[in-house]
Amino acid sequence: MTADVLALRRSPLGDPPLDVRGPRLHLRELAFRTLLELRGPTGRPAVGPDEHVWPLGPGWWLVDGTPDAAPALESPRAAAWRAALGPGAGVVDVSCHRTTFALSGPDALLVLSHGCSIDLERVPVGQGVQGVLAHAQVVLGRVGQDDWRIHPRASFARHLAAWLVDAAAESWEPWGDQED
Amino acid sequence: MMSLPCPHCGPRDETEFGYGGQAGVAYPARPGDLDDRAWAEYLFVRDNPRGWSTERWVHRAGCRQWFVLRRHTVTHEIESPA
Ligand SMILES: [Zn+2]
Repeated sequence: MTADVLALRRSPLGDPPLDVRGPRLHLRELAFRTLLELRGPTGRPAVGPDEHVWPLGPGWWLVDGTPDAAPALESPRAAAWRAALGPGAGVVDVSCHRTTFALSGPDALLVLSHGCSIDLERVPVGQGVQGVLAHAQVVLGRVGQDDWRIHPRASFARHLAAWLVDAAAESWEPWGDQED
Repeated sequence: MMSLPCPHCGPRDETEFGYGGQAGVAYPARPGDLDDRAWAEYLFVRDNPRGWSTERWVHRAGCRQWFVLRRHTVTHEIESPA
């Protein structure tokens, strides 16, 4: 039964998964990540090695963790966070609210800056911002110098994937920006 | 495109924000005592200055926090109130 439910799931980008690779860029969807929003902690919550945490606003955080093994109305991690943060904090499983793109490679920042007016160069590794990318509201997290996570709302995922593939046209080509 | 200074996120494009109108309009202390004209003025009538205007904005696409800033309605200069 469990296996059946998992087999029926479709990520916002559907099947087969988005995975485009060029010499200077790699774009893929990381489907079914466990996404939790935390309300309350004023300091950055400590997360495990398989998780990222991005600041969304004052006392407001997005935790991005590996997919849960079994289907559930609420990820068991939500209860774990609730217990860890204590009363007064809010924890909501928002895994279906957004999906996750990984954009990596030396051209990643360049491609993002085509559609984002935030000065992403100044975002340090391990930090993130909430804002607008190509007219879509997103959470952007920098997991490495050339490695970003993009969390668009599920209904904007197709638009954003199409926009990224188009904006990165030069990065997919083996000859780079050489003229015709 | 105006750039507005969110106190939490820094400068962002105006398209990330929602406009909340004139700042500092207090809810009447005894609303039941107001006649229709005074109540309508409280609800609907706002300053419309040619010059500096103190306004509420919400960073809708970012931290979702409300804040107050001063904007010059002619030049669109922006000041964060002290
Ligand atoms: Zn903000």
